[in-house]
Amino acid sequence: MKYCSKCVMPSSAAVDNGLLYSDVCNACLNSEKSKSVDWPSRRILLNDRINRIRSDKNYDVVIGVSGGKDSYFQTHFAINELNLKPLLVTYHGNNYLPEGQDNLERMRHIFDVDHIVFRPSERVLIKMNRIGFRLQGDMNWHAHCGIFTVPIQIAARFGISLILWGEHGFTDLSGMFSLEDFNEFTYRDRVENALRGYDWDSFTDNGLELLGREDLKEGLSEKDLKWGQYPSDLELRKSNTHGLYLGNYIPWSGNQNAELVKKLYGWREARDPFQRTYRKISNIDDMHENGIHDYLKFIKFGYGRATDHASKDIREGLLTREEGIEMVNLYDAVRPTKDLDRWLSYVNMTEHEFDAIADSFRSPKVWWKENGFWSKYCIDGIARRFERVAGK
Amino acid sequence: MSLKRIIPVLLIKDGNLVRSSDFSDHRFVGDPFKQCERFNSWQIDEITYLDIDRERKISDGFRTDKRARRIREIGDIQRFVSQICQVPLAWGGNLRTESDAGRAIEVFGADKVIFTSAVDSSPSAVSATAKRFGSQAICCGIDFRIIDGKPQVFVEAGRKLIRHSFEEWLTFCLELGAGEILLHAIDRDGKKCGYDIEVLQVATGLTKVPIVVLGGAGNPNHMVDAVKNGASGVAASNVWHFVDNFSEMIRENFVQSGIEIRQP
Amino acid sequence: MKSKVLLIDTEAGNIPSVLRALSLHDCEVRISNSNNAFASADALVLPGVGAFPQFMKNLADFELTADLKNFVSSGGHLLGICVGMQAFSRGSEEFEFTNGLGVTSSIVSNLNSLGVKRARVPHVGWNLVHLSDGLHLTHPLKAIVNRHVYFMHSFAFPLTTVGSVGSTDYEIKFCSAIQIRNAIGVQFHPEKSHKVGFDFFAKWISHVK
Repeated sequence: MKYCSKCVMPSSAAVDNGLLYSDVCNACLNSEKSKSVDWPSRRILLNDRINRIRSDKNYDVVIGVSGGKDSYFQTHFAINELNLKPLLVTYHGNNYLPEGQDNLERMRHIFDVDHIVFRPSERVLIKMNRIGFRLQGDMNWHAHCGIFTVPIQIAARFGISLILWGEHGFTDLSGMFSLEDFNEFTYRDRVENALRGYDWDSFTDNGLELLGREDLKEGLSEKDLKWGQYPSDLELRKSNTHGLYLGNYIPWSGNQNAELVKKLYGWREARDPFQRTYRKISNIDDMHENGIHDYLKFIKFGYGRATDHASKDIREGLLTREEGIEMVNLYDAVRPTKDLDRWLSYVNMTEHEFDAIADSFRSPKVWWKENGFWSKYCIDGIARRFERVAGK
Repeated sequence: MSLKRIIPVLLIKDGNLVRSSDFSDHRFVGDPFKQCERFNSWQIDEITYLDIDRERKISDGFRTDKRARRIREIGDIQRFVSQICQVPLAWGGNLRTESDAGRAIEVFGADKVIFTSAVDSSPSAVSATAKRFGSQAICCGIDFRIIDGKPQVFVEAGRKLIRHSFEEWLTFCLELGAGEILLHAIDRDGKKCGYDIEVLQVATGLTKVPIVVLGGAGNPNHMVDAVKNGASGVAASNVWHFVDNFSEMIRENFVQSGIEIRQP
Repeated sequence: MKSKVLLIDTEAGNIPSVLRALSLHDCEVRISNSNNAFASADALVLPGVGAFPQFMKNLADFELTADLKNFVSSGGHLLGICVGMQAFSRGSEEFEFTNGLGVTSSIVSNLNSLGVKRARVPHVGWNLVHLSDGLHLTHPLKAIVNRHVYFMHSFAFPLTTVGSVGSTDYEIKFCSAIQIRNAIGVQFHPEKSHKVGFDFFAKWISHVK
């Protein structure tokens, strides 16, 4: 396991970040380059693009919103800077913190916009949680799918040509794309990277059979998962829909977005601290994202969201690397008991089963067993013991 | 007359699909197969895979939480690709011997092989392969940079300068039996600034063999430009990852520009 | 009853692709380079890439030359692809003149010798096949009318080829499809021609039945 010499990202990151060949990860390289980017001319490019798709009669743009700081910022930017009429679309994964739910509901009043909130059946969601966890160690898979599908379905159906995303997640975390690429949203990126190669049809009974996982069947069929079906290429050509990332056109900072929307719109951060990260401005739309979903990232790859947040803050000059390391040491290994309890009761699973299944996803490139405990190398180069190996 | 060809190029490094700039900044964008399936569904004209590994460090991104094929070495990728690719396929990169090429064609279903550095390190392998499989199965890749206004040929992924002129090198490739030439502009890799039209014109003036251009494609107009200047095929590696349904945008553009293009 | 198709592996043909293309259809596919397998097959597929002399040498080495000729003359269903089609010729001028199976008396020449001066050779890419009049609706080649198919060759049959049923424009016109009795030869690669190729194979297989 290797760590970036500038931030605290490991080479075992969920998405390859270039540390196999370099001491500095691609996200840090991007961050360096962004200091010399000609942002004004990119803004002109964006304005040109916007002017070409602006509509007389229809919504100009779809914005997928969770009610988070970035959602607020994107909506604010679209309306006030780009003079667009957006349609807000939310995939609601049923895991909102109360303050997150509140932020979400206030959006249409604050911004005077139309807002579609899609809420799948809770029973279906519980099943998706269980299958997601058992199949790939990610109970929140349904949310990645919904967030990257429902807004696009709506855009296709309403004939809206533009979807405005914030930053490209894996570029922000791992430097997947360079700032010169001006990458747009693609179906392949969604399936391979966001959804780990699975799609809605992996979760039906038929799909699970084809995958050789009849043991995970929960009685789901296509009828239950229409919200997960990405529009066809033909549909998207008809509506001429393109998904642009604002992060390619304006300098992007989650922290600055949060400051701005707190000030302008009274956006509220998490009321209570999270168990697994020091940041309170992220992921209040889904309690598990900072909780057990992130704990599973630690179990799989040996790092968590505190690493992600610290790395981003180091790049923004808000933390030194030493401070970042402190955060990693404080938070990455924390077992989020509150969050786990909520989830276990939500899906009716025992803690023992949870641990056994979670362990099956530990990466052998990171973890090894020693005297009944899981061990790995930490950022200071020292091997340490963590959880007990789950008994059979 | 035969139609002009649109040719996506998929770059493989460490077992991953990567995007590239300057022949050096290679970043993971996904696995080698899904995009091939996308190209199948778009009924693209041909697909080229380039194995740009230098150090053979398979990053073994295999994970139990991901649905992906397990890749241990380049042969695994070649084998899976041969099972899924439904359009004409070319393999290039790290092909040094006749048996490398023979394996790509006979075992892994490639219709064409692309020899680039082999023209320098093992030219007899190139000519032997041409004799065995015919010139139509042999493409020679010419990677070049513009130095003092002239194209200079490089091999070994842009690291070794060839001390012959571009014209001499092109002629040499033809003598070895190349049935197609792939002109790859190193300076334009990842820049989205358009193809090198001047060098294309030099090449089309020198030979009657089909010429395919690569390096610098950013939008369909670049491709139209290359075709109007004599390219038989237009290849691009990065841009497919930046825009979805790009082949349709290209086709519409070609039709509007009066260039006949194959419609699915 | 499924048709039994024998795919002849001459070690100079793109077997994986042709096999994959055939397996998409309702037929039983076997691969062999032994003439013993001819008798139990309803149809033969002879794919060929590469150089003509090498291809014919391989056929001879596997002792298939005479049996293929007999198969054709007795009305057997044979599909020759690319060099497999060129094998129907009296011979080819590729490298030194080499004898073909002699199913047709015409010979195969370089596209430049056939008159191509400006267009680039090899002919690589998607092109059309114009069919001769009089082919029945159920003829496999009807599947590719006005639809592009993939070519990859430097040598070809001339337009005047005995047995020609289809031609292609490439600065000049050359014969791109030939039929002698029930032996069909195509210069293009149906296994590379995506949906069009799929439809061609489908029609050929039902034609064989």
